[in-house]
Amino acid sequence: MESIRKKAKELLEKNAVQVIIGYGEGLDKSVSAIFVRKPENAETLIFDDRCVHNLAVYLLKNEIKALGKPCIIAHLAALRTILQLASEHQITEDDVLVLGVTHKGELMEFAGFKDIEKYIASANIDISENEKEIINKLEAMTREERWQFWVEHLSLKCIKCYACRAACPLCYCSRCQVEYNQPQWITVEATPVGIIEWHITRAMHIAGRCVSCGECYRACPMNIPINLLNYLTVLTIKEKFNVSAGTSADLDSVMSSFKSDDKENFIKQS
Amino acid sequence: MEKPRTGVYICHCGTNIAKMVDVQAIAEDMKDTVNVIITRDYKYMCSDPGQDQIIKDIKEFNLNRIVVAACSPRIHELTFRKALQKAGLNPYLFQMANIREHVSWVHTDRAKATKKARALVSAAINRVNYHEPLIERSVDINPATLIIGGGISGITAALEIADAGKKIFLIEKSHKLGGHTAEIDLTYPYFYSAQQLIKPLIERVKNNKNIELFLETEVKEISGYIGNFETIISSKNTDKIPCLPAGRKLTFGNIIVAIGLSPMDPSPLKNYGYGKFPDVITSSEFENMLLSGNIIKKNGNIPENIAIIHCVGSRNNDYHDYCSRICCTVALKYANQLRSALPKANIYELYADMRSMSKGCEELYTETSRKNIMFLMFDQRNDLPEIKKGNDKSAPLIIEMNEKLSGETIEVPADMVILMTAMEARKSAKEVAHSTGVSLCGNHFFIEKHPKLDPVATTTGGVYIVGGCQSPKDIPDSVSQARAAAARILGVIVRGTAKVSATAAYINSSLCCGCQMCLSICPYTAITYDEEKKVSVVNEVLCQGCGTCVALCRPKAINIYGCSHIQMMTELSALLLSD
Amino acid sequence: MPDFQPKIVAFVCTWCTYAGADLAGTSRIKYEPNVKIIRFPCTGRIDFMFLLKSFAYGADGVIVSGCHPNDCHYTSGNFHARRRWIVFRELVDLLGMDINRLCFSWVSAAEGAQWAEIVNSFTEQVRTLGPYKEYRELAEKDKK
Repeated sequence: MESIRKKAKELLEKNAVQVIIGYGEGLDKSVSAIFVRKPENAETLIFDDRCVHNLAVYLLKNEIKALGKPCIIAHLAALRTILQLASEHQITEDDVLVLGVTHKGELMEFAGFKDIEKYIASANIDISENEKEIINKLEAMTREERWQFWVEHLSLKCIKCYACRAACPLCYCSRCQVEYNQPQWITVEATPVGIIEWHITRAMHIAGRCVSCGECYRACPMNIPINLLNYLTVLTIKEKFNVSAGTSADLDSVMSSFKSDDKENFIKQS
Repeated sequence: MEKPRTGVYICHCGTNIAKMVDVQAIAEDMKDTVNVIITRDYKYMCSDPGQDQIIKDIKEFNLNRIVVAACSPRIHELTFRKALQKAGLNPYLFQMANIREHVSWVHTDRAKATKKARALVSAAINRVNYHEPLIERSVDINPATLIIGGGISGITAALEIADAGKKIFLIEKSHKLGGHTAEIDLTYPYFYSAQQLIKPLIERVKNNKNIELFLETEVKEISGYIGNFETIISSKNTDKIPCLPAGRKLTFGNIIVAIGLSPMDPSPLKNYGYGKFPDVITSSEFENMLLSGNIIKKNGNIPENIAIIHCVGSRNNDYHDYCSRICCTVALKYANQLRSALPKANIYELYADMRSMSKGCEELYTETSRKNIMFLMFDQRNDLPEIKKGNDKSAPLIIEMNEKLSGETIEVPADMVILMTAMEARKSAKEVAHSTGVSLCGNHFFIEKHPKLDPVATTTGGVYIVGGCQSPKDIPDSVSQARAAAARILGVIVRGTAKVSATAAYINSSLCCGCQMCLSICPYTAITYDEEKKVSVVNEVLCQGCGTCVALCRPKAINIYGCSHIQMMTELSALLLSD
Repeated sequence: MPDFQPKIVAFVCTWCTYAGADLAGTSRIKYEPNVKIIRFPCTGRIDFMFLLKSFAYGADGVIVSGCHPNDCHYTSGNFHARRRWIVFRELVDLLGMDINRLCFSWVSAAEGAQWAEIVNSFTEQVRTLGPYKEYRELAEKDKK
């Protein structure tokens, strides 16, 4: 924590960056994202076990961009997000100064994206055992049981607040598919099938790009484990196409590339 | 856009549609659909009176959308689009419903067929509301032509186009021109010398200043589209003239695929013992013998009992189920040549059916039957002849067969057996198909644009297929196709431009998030990125209208004329919700 | 349910499967009348939303069919479609949607008989599964 505050103060004093995107104390012992612009306020930066949120979502917000060049306190998922956004031409090395932080709170300075790639290559980017187990449990259910689960926990619970979309750093489209009425792809209001359609759409759009940061789940006011849908795509894409998102700033986008021997066992042919 | 005023036409197609679909009822039902001004049913919509009715209605009722429910749009979409044009309406304000190939011809319950047809028509009527006028795009034509294959087909096409003054790049994989024709002694049915046919043609090719010849050269990747193709050729042999060094770039406007066929290796057909018995030879090997002027066995002696077996590998479910077309007449040719060379020999034709059909060939059959040749018929589907070792010196081989006409099992003595092997697609066909963008059928023959009406064109603009690679055929048919393709290409070159699909993708830059995923998905590299505006842009000329980028784009910034988001969603909802 | 007539929509590409279906027609091969075709330039154009919406609009089954790999008229549209289907299918399976109601196939322009076979066997499959009641029940809730 101290090293973060020290480095942040230094960067602001030198005017190397104009804003530090980091963690600070929020309401009721919760953590908030804070945007430190004055060197003296670097003291308000914290880092502890509560700091799991993916701050990379702020990198593409216009309000933050207007403040100038940012420095971001980035844990593993945020680092992967930065690389993924770079591979999608949303940010360049010059746009952001990245201060990596391990789960123990150790500071990592990166010379550039290649450095970040090296760190990520050595890290464990798998989905947590806990979450894998939940997915396995779901897969072990019968189809009808799974449908019941999602109808109960998703279809009849989701209020279509779109907090998941707002929290996800990869949902950066200026206009979302759900905001069309010519044609009306997905109903805007919280109708049961409309809800299924929204979440499938979002999962398909994030497929191949999700860094399993879990922000969507954390943001959901109804506590729905929607991240499981995205994690399923992460597992499928790793298994079938051997690719993980956010591992390189030059990554070929998974869903717009192919291998002629992509394997499947369900397409009928003679 | 003005409010749609739609005319709906349900075709009887004689009784083809009407007998299984209640066309009058559908026409009646559609009258009350939103925006429908008039509905009609008629016997033959594609006929002149049918089309004239559409034109008349457009003018009289001020129609601005037309739906025709009839045969497949792959047959008559163009016909009706032209009718709209004649009436002064943009041809893309039109939609067809396929109620013949997809309904009346394949279903047996009239009520169910009519219900399905009704839904298809309703879908078309709803969808056409969202059609917009489209402009057909034109591209310039590079007057050079690439011909892949230097056999008789490739040579004929090359000379036809070059003699008209246009440039040809002729690519041949082997070290010489002439293909199979150059390996033949005499041609059927009149026994002209093949060498005297092909050699002058080869000379003309070599001396024609408009033909650039590349021997021992293969074509790998071809990029571009009609009128504007390019490839980089590499040659195995860089010493010989006129081969050119690796890496030469060629640009051309049209392509003719003329790679021909290969004779099949009959070794897998164990009943014939090819490879086991030295005097069981293939038709190609016998042709070689004829060219050399000596019909002799492996031990150097002259044969006395020669059997010619038809359909080796052809019309055979385990190998090739098609007929190789020319072998029956070639076999008759061999019988004649053997009879001339060996007046005392016993000559046997073991055949399944006698398919000697081209001009003069039935007469050849009659003539051959008068030359003391024994014709023995076998059952190709169930009972192939079997070649066994014999005991006699003059008959070291015995062919055991069930003679179909007499019903008797007989043993044919032979000391030489000629196997009329199937003609099969070249091993390189797959690669050539891939680089030219043409499909292959199950037998690896190239697929023509239309089996009846357009056998030399393909569905890929600017690419033509001629000769054996399209299907087995003889010299007159190969030459006809070669000249046909040449004439088509010369027509295109004279016009100077070719029309390309009006359906191209376009990007609403205010919605584009600049992720550039569309750049990597486009097979034609038709999408580029504007660094300044930070959005993607579609090159309309390169775009072939596949729509893959349209489905990919998350914010739906990309749309496509002729297959837009709202057109497809409307068609889908109307199709399912109409009943 | 012997009287149940499944409603099936087929999304096919014009160059291969649509042409194959035409061939089945010209060959007068008879097959079940439950499948209605929507024509696309390429399987690459087929948005996964169309598949989803089909069920919301009342389909009991969906067929998606195009050119065999390496035979795409636009060279690679079907490869991209294939990746999309691989992910989509796993995703909706996790959600508990009935993936037996999704049929994917490669049918070429020369395969009229194969098209008829796919229509017949899939119609039978969906008939056995019955109407897609649970999805429709959920969709009914949408209208309230």
